[in-house]
Amino acid sequence: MTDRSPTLAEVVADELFPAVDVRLREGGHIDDRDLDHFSFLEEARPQLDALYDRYGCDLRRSVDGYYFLEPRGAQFGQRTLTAAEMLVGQVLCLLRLDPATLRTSGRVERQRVLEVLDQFVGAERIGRALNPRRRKRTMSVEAEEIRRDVDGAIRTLARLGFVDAEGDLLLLRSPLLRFAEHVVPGKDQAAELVQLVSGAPAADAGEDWAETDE
Amino acid sequence: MADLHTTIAGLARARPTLELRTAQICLLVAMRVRTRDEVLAELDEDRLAALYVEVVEVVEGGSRLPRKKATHALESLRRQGLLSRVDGAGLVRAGDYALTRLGVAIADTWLEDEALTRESLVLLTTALRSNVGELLTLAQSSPDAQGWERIRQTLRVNVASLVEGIDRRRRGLDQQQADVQGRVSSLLADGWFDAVEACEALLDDTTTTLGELKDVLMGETSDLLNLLAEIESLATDQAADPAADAAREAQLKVDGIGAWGRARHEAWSEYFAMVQRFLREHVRMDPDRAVSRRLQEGLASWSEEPWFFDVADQRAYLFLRVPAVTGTHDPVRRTAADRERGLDEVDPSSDHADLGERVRRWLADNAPSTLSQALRDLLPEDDGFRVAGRITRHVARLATVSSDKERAWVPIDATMEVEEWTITGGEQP
Repeated sequence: MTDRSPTLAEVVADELFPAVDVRLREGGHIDDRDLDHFSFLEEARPQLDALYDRYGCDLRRSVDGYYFLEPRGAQFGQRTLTAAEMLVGQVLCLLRLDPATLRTSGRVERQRVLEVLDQFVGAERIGRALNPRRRKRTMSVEAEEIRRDVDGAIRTLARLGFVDAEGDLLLLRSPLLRFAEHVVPGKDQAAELVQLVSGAPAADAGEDWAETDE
Repeated sequence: MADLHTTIAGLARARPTLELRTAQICLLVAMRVRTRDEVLAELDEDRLAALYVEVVEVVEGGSRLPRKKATHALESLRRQGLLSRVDGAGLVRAGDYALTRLGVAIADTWLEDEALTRESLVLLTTALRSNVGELLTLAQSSPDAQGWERIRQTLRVNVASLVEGIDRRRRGLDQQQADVQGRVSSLLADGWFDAVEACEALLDDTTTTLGELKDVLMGETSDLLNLLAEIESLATDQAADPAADAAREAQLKVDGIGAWGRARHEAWSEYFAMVQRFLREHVRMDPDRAVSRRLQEGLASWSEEPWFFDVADQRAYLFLRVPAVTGTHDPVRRTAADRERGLDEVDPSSDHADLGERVRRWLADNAPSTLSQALRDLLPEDDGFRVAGRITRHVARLATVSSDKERAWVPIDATMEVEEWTITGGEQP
């Protein structure tokens, strides 16, 4: 793009626009590891703000340095993350904030996700949270089901740009901090949660939250 | 490949094995350190046994009958080729022992590598440059075969060992960096915000050291490569192939050290940026580490108080423009074509009538004759098959024909034969 502020027509005509647009519409998050796409968004942000606003959608730039689309209403398609995706996302966010991850250049083993889940949630509660309708079964079967759910969640989170799967390792990216947005210091946690539950940024599935894991 | 197979087969025949316990490895290391520090070539049996007792004291907190165990341990090390008796006095008296090459290698592996510093690197590269410079001077004086052999050997031994010295120290530096990374993580895990300054100081120190090393390496390796390339060129010109090969190998080693310097610096830069960002965005912004704590609490109570967020999930565009053309859905039909073919119109021909007249004239002029002759004379050049039957019918109608009981087949031309008739009369009444 040129030095002056580009027009919407120029933004849409840019060869990067289709890829960026499709990623954002599919719920993807774009940080500065995707330097081309990130730079494009930095330059074209005013025009794209106006474009997506017409669809009832906000192009958000987080203070942690990543972009994503946030639908405001029903006009734009949206979906709620599943219980497995939420749990795994929070664990990965916690690991990203762990100084030990600095030693491995921001990478963790998949096994570590299960260990932290087990440490903070507990195997029984994980199983219940991931699928409350699942009947009681042996521990080995339950563990296998949990591993499968966690693997599926990691695949989805990778597609949404939260992590990069590198074989047995996961590269933790800055969009994971979205899972900690509601607990950043200086904000009233309870009030923030109420806002998340009632407002657009987040949705509480209430009594039926488990349905999302179907 | 054959050499490798021979070597492996020879090794397999000798059935070598190594079985070392911790105390024995520690003894090898202790022996290496003691002989190096005291500049000794060997240790006598008493000192060696005392060293073993000392090692066992540290490793296992002492043991019963230590001298007896020491004898067994030393015998085991001798049997495995890690220790050799060097006095040659046999059983006459207690002997002197030295580490074998294998013993030295094992001990050195466990000893911490000396780290590469700016001073040690400058010392090593200066020595290397001076050595290669001398070799270049020798190479430029058009040496004889013996001179080239000296160059080759010096390159193989002296230069290689100096390069190995740098190589060994760079492993030490790698380890030092890994230690710094570990210390940064530990400091942050233990002190979080209070550890910021200590972490930054550690990072800055290592970054400065690496920057200096990179500068020295880049400058020195470039000079060394030029000198070695010149030696290789001179050796090639004078057909001293072994010396040229040695110079090429030395260049590869020096180049490898330069590449390591660049790669190490880049990797450290990436790590440096990542830690700085972590300190800036997470530690300084959250000095009480409240985010991690709240996340942990949130995770623990998530199944009781679950919360979710939404992501966009919209593939198709909605109403980007008003469609100019509404879609029409015409049924699919076949074209109503008349599939009956009409008759071909052919110009009426008088060939048929003419043919009868021509046969009549031929009979008048040529009878008696044969059918084959009639056909030869009357058949047109093309379409002969179609007309032959009609000519025969006219002949049979207009003349008297007869044939033998066994009618002979007579060729008309290259493509046609007929059963022969004899035409005996003219036109029949």
